[in-house]
Amino acid sequence: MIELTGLQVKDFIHPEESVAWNALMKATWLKRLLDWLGSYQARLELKTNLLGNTFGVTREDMPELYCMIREVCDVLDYRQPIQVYVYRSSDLDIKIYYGDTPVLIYPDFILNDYDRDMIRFETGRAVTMLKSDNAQLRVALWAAIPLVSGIPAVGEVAVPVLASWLRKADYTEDRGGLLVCQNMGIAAKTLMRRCGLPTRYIDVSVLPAYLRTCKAASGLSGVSQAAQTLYRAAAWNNDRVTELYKWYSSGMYDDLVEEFE
Amino acid sequence: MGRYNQKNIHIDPSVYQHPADRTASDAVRKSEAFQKALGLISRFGIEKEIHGLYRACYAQITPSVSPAIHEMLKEAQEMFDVPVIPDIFLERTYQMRVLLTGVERPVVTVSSELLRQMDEPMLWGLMASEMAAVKAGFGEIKLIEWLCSTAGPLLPAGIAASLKVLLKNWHRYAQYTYDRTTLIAGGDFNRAVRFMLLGEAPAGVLDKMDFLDPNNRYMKQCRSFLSEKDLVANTVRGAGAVLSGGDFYASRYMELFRFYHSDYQDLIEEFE
Repeated sequence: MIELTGLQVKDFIHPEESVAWNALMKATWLKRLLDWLGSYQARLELKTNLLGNTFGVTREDMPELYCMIREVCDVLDYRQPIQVYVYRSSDLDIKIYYGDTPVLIYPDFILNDYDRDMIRFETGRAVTMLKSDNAQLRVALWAAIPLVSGIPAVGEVAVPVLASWLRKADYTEDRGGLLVCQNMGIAAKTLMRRCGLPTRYIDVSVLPAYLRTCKAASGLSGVSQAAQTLYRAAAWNNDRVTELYKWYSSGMYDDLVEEFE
Repeated sequence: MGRYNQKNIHIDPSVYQHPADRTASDAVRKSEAFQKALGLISRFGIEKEIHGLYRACYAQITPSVSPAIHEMLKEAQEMFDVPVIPDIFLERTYQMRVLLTGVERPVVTVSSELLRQMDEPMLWGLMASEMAAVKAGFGEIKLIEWLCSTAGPLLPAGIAASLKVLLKNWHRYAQYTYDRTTLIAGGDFNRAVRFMLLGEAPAGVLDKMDFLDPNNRYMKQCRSFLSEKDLVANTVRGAGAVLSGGDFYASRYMELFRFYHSDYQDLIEEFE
């Protein structure tokens, strides 16, 4: 595995996330509000849920997982120690919590169902989130969406804007995941699993066909694109594969690895 | 296995029902809406309908399908002095859950994931705690809970709404009773906690923990969580527990730990 020394998230951030982020941050009051909400939400989450409903695991409990996280952090040049919690859920996203110590919260489904490479890809995505300058703001956005959506008129405008930023962030995190597992096949396999295909049916030989269907799906009608832009907090899985593959095959991935090796 | 059935004991609900559960279930039963809902169930034969529904949707675990499970049920029937063995159905879902409904003919649905993850002693604990719940009259309250959640808007005005908080409150404290009966049936504190936390942490990790050690790190995590002084956090937490009808694993573990070191010891003495 090639370690990428000095790599920053800004070196591989998806351009659409940059645009969305810059637009969001133009409103200084909004940034301040989200900053405050982010740190408050993180503390509240710890006190109202995290410690009471999840199980903290140590390096001694799950040496392999901790070792993998260390490797992922080495590849992405992330130096802070990480704590791990586990909870019962069929969710497919590793949650992050950003308090005094960065925390990764794994749904047990990922640990039970995914193979080692797929867990590495997802861990890479989560560490990318932690490493990005706006990890705390991401937590704030997730907290803000349900709050803002309840405000008449404001919710209708603000929620799509906030959700749009989160969706673009998915593209950047996927790039982080790919940089960690350093194999486009594994990245696509993990995203195929997100579509529901059981792991035992996902074989490297089916990936070219899957990528073809993803490319076909990227030619969305204007209505579908608008629906995705306005109402979805997460990007469509197939869209994510297409975006990632585009970046991978453009040569930017290789250039980045070469530059920071 | 740690079963006590060989001693031909019969355990009364007053021994294992958590006081908060008893108070909450009394409040539910005394409410006018509950009595009205019971009247509807009897008038429209809803219990029979539910039974038919389960038969149509889920696989029934009959004695011929799984003699082992029925053997456990029979033992638990004797242990908790239950007049009738419920019908057991298997529901295919990733969630780990059990649902008991019914009075005249109780029905228990067990999720496939729960069955997949449990070993034999845990399955015994589950079956025994469900039998204890039948004896404690949970089937009646759960029947009303089921009615309100599936057909709430169709019920006469006010029934579902006025029962909502009462039922959630009961549901929360009933978990303490379930945890106690799992412990009583299995006779092993560590196993009872592992059962409670099943799926919440990798099995290998839970197996290594000594949950009876007051200095174990999960106990420290729970204590830190429960001793929170922040008023806002406590309000959010309390409201969340009431609205969700669930309690934190931290609270359940600490409650069971307290029970183990108090009433449970008297119970053991009595059996021995």
